[in-house]
Amino acid sequence: MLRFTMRRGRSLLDKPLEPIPAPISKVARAMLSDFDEIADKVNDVAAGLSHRFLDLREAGRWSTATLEEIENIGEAEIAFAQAAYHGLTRALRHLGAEEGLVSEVRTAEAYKAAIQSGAAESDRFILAAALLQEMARRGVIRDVLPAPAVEGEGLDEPGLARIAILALILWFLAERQGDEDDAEALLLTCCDVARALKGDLEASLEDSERLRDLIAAYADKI
Amino acid sequence: MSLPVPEVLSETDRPIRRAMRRMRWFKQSFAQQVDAISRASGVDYRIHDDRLAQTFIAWLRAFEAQKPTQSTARRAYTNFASGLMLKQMIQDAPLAVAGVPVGSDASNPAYYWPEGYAYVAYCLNVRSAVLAQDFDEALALTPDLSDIRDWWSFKENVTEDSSLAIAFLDLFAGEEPNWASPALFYEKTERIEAWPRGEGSG
Repeated sequence: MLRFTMRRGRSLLDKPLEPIPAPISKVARAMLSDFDEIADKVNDVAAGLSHRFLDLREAGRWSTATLEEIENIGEAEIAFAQAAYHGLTRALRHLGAEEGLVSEVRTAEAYKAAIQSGAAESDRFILAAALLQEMARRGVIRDVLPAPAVEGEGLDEPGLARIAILALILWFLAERQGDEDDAEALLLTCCDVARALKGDLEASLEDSERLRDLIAAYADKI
Repeated sequence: MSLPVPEVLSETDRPIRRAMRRMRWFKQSFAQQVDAISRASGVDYRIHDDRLAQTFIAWLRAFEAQKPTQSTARRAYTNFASGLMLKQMIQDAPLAVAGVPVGSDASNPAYYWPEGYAYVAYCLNVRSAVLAQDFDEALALTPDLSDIRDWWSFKENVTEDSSLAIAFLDLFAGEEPNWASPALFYEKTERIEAWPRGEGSG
C-alpha cells in the first residue's frame, strides 16, 4: 500500500512537468527517477526481503564490476544485485523506457538460482545464459513504460526488459579497458548491440544452449 | 581526391582487421570519421547508435558467412568485406544530416550525398589501413571518386539495390568491380602478391 501511494504520488507529480522548460524538467525527472527507486525499495522491504540491501548499499561499490569479479567475492548475490540494479536502470533509460522498476531482491534470487543450478561449474557463458533466463523468468524488471518512439519499433514492455537484461549480461562479460566512465559508455554500447540482437534473443530465450551460443558469439565482439 | 582519415586508423600497432570486429572500436572509428568529414566540409551529422549497432551485427554475420578458407584469398576478402560494410551502412542508414553549409557546392560528392560520402570514406579508409598493415600496399583511389556523375549513378543504383555498393566501392578503390553478382565472394588466388604480415589468420 505504501508503495502504491508512493507510485501514485509519482504519477501525479509526473503530470505537470510537460510545460516546464527543459533544464528544470530534466532536474525534476531525475528526482522522479529517485522516487521510483525509493518506491521499489519500499516494495522490497514490505516483502520482508531487502533489509540487507538497504543496509549494505554503498554507492557505486559494485556498480561497474564484471561477472568474474562478482563471482570471486563474498556475498556475491548482493554484489550482483547492486551491479545489476545500476546497469539495468541505466540500460532501461538508454533503451527508451520512460519508467521502470528494478528489484534487487529478485535479481539476487535469480543469481542464487543460477548458481544453484550448477551453471557456474561449466563455462561462463552457460552461467550467463542461466542468469539471463532466471532474471527474465523472475521479472526483475517490472512496470516498464516504453516511450512512444520505442513502442513504434515494436518493442513492448517484456521485450524491452529482456533486451535490457541481455545488455547487462553482455556488459558483465565484456572486456573492460578503462575507468568507470568507460564502463558506463560500454554499457550503452551493449544496449545498442542487445537491441540489434532482439530477434535472436526472442528465438533462443527458452533454449539454454542456443542462448549460451548467442551470448558467446557476441560477448567478445563488444 | 583525399579523404579525411579517422585518428584511430593511424595507430599501426594494433591489427585493424581484428579491431574492426569489435563494436566499441567500430563505433569509435566511425565517429572519428564522421567528425573528420564534418570538420572538413562543415556538414553537421547525427549518428544513430542503434542503427550503427544493427549495421555492425549484420556486417559481422555477412563477413563470417563468406569468409574464405584459403589464406591466399585474404587480400581479395579484405576488399570484399569493406564493400559489405558499405552495403550494410547504406541499408541501415546510421547517419543523418542535420545541416549543410549555406551555398555548398552540390557538384561536390561531400555535399551531393553527405551520408553516402561519409560511408564511402570510412569503408575506403578502413580498407586502405588493412591493406597497408597486412599486405604493405597503398590504396590507389580512382579519380572517379570525385566525379559527380559517378556519384549520381552510385546513389541511384544503390538505392535500388544496396549490394551494388560492393561493386561501386571496388570502382572507387581502383579495382575491377563485379557488377553481375557483387554480393558473392569468389575465392581467387591469382592476385595475391604479398603474404600478410603478422600472426595467425584472421
